[in-house]
Amino acid sequence: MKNRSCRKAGMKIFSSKIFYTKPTRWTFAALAALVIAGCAWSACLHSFFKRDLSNYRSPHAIPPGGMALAETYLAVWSDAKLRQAELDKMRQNNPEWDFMSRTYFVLALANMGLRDKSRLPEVCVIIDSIIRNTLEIESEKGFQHFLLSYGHSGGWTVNPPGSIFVDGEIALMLAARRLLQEKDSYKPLLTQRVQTMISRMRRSPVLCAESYPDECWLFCNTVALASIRMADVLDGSDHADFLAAWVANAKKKLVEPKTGILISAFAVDGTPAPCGFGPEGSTIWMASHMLQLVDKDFANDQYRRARHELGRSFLGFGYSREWPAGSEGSMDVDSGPVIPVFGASLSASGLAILAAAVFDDNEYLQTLLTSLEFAGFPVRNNGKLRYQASNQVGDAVLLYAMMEGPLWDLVHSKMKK
Amino acid sequence: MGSGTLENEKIAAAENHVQASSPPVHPLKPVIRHLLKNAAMCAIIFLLAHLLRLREYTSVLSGTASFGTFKSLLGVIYFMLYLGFVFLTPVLLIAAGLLEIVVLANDKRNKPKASQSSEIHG
Repeated sequence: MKNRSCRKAGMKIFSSKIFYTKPTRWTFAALAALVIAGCAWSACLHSFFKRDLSNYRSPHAIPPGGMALAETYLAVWSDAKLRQAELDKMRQNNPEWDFMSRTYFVLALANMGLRDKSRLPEVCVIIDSIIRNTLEIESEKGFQHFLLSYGHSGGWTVNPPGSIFVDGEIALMLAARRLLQEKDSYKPLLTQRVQTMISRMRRSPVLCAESYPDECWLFCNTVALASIRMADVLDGSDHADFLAAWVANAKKKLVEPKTGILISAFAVDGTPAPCGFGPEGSTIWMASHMLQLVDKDFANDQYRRARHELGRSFLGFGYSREWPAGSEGSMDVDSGPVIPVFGASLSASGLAILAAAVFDDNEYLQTLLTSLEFAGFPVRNNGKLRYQASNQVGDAVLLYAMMEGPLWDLVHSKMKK
Repeated sequence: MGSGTLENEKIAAAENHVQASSPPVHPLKPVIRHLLKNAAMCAIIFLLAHLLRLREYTSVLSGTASFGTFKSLLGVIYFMLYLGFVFLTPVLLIAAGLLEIVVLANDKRNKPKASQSSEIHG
């Protein structure tokens, strides 16, 4: 009877006589063997998924992993039908993903073009098609087209309504394209976006504009700041005072006292919003990268703190927590599913790959990439790569993490001049 | 008839002698067999899922395929089988290997005793 129930449970190992008669030394030997095997395997599992870092990051050339991932999405963006299918898939779940995948892909392509000048014409054509398509949608359907449903309702504090999420990322795309190769028609578009963003940001005591009605997101505002800095180096404008004031304000009003990390979301008056009252992995990794163009020391400090509070590694597998231990928030579309006990978030871990890459934190990057190989389900086919467990925006972030470097270096060198 | 019965008795006695003289099965041997069988089962089921290209549905992990759909179920099934293959199969194989070493060591230790006792009885 006992034997049958064991079989029913699919535990044939334990159906052996040894496990259901009186325990003998052999029972303990068998259990000990399982425990030893479990420990030994857990300790060395990561080494089977560890890849050479040079496959993903290279100081000057295009890394092979990055090239393979880029090939997948170059094919998608070169074919109107494929592109629409991919974007529709994104929009079904989250219209923000559709929009953000464009931004990350443009940033990745701009870096790719700077790494390999022979690809410049091809890269510029794709970037232009992305920008054109985005601007067309924005003018036809309004900026709300790229927002979640609650962005379609009223309640915007600053009028006329506008989202710094959309303005900031479009400005970033325009600036990246112009830094790669100047295009005169984009100059007025960028100048206008920058003026709009600054005028909206100035109307808040914390110098931040709304992404959603009375909801200012750190992610979007730091993207806007980076694009303002890029516009400055491109057009000779000077918003250094505004950027310095933003940093001073943020240090005073937007930092969580316990961790010293910037909080994620707040109202126009600076009151922490319930949806992002504390630091979040899905925000701070990207924000610290954007702040590199605004205040390098502050960006480094934010990365260091985030690494301490959110960066984790277990048995050689790296991940990022969504929230610091002890101040957990609630899961949302930004955090994605959060693994209990570990507090690991898929989107925070993806963005941690980007942050670890740009801050040259190779040790953490290596563990994160090991996790990516383990749980990202990479599929390599005809020189193309995609991560099955990811989606278009996730892959675009990864691609950007693999390509990043030359664009920010270019801005820094122009800033020095 | 009588001689036939006698013959059968002789055969039965001979069989009993053979059974008694063959070494007893080590209690760990069935466990090892079960471990190997389960390891093979995990590997084969995962291989089948892989050949059926269920890997494509793992986008459920990023929230691209929403939970509750058939595709998401396939993605979750593939993920569980993958974890089984990656974690369980090697652990079961290593454990089987370790137990086999124990059995061999035990046999080796018992052999000299057996030969000593047979010498004494001889």
